[in-house]
Amino acid sequence: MKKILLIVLFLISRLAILRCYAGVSENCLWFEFDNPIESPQGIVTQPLFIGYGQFAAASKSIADLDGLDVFYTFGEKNKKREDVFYKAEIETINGRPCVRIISATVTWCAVIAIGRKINKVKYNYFAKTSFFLFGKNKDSINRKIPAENKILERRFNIGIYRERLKEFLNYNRLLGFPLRFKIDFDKSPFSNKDVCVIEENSHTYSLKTDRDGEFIYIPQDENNLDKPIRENYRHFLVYGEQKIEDKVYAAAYTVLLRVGYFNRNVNFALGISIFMISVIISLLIALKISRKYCS
Amino acid sequence: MNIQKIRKVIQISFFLLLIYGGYAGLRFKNFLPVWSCPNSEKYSQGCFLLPLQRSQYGLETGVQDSRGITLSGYFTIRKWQGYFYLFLGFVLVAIILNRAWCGWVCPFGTLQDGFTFIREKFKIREIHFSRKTKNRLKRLKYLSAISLIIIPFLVPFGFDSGPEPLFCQFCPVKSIMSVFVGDFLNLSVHSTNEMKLLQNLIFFVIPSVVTIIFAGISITGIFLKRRFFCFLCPVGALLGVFRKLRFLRIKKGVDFCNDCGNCQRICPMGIKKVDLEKAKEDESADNCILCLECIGACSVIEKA
Repeated sequence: MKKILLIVLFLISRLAILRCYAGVSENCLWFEFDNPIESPQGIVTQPLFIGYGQFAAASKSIADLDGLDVFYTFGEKNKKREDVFYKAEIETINGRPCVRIISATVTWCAVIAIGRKINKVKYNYFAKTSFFLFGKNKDSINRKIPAENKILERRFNIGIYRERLKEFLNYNRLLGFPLRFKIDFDKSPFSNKDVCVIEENSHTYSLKTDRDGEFIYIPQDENNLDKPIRENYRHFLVYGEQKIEDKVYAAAYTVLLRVGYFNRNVNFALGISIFMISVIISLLIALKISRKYCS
Repeated sequence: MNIQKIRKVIQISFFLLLIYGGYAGLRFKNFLPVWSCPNSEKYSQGCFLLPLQRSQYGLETGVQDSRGITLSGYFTIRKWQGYFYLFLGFVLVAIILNRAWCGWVCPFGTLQDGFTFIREKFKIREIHFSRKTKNRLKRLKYLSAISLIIIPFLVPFGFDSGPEPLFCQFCPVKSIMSVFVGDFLNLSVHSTNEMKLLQNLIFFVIPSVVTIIFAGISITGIFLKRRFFCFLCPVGALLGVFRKLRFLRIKKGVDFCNDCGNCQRICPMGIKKVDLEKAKEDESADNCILCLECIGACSVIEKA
């Protein structure tokens, strides 16, 4: 009886795991953020770990891949108005593959990893993420020679477009508010396709792109992240895949969720008090001055 | 309908258009010389002073970010093309209207006139400053205009204003005008958990507190003194650069003037020259906003 019960429990757990990864039929390549490191000279280094396998589950080794290249861009364009990419060196930190993006100034950065695995089916993996680096040094770091753009052709591109919010029009809040994503495959919109969002806790949400390859996801708000510690953050992954004949293209975009500028640190009561006090004081001063200087 | 009523109608129309036009989907971007904080997308008009300050990023990096993302990635403008249209729009306004812009179009000017209207309704007397104080106040607008232009050029030399352009960090107009579209964010004390305590104080807490204090002082000022803020406005100073090229001028009939002084008393900008000048016909002094109140108050015209 116990054995039957165990078998039933095992089957239920397997079903639950399968439910978790609904929509993710293949392995994927993804980035994971680590805490940025700032040097005394104001140079900021953002380490990004590279994961391969099933996100939030046991990761496979990238040695299983037949090829892996990582590129990054700071949004510069060349004369042909193409993005200028630089190749990143893959290192190993604590036994995990990692790339380090360095900037001395404040800049936006996008990082793309392209992996290949050739079996009976040819797998093409794309990982992407984007973030800001808040360097505090006025001198920019000389970049190496840009990578060939051809290597990035026919790529699976997932972009994030943050909605401007009524409450925080200038400042992007990430938690509890809609995030709009746009997916392109081979320079065309990834229209009416199933995609999924995988949270760190393995919860997977199946979504569908619209005609323009766009969809909206609202990450769940989390009070734990609303604390004055920069290190508080969580990731989630946007995943999409496309099968063409004997080729599989799988793309994963890592979204870093942490509290943005001004999030909830806006004190209106204190502000309006200061305003009223300044009105009263300036009124008294103005009246005193006007008596003194009355023409 | 007399000219002042026409002016009020025009002022209110532009106020509604520039402040609430965003509700109707109107977007004038930053090309009109108006202070209106783009914190609220309900505005149809972005702030003119904002891209002016953002020239720093082009200077710093040589090439602007391809997506137009600047220091904090909040605002977008195509650098050179944007600046060209910005300059073109400003020159056109400066030549065609010059400071008539302040008297007839500027929403903040209209707001100041509104406060004057309320003060007069409550029969509260306007405060008067001595000429010396007034002259000192007048200089402030040039000081603010110069600082607005110079500060961005200091950025490549390590002058970092933090996540917002420096001028915006202390701008009182953003607090006041945002209220009209139901945005009280700029009347709040800001802090962030993204930075260390000292940076938090320097870049967020102190600027937001100073902005609120400036807003309070400005409200008192515009309530007690007609067009108080026009004495401090850098846009007025920048428009003044093109004063000699302007189309609109007031010509005084010097031969008919009976020295009654009504024009000087009614002038919201407190221009004495309008009464005292006896030689030249052109009365459009540096601060003249062409409100035409002097013409309405002229006893000679009234008799005629």
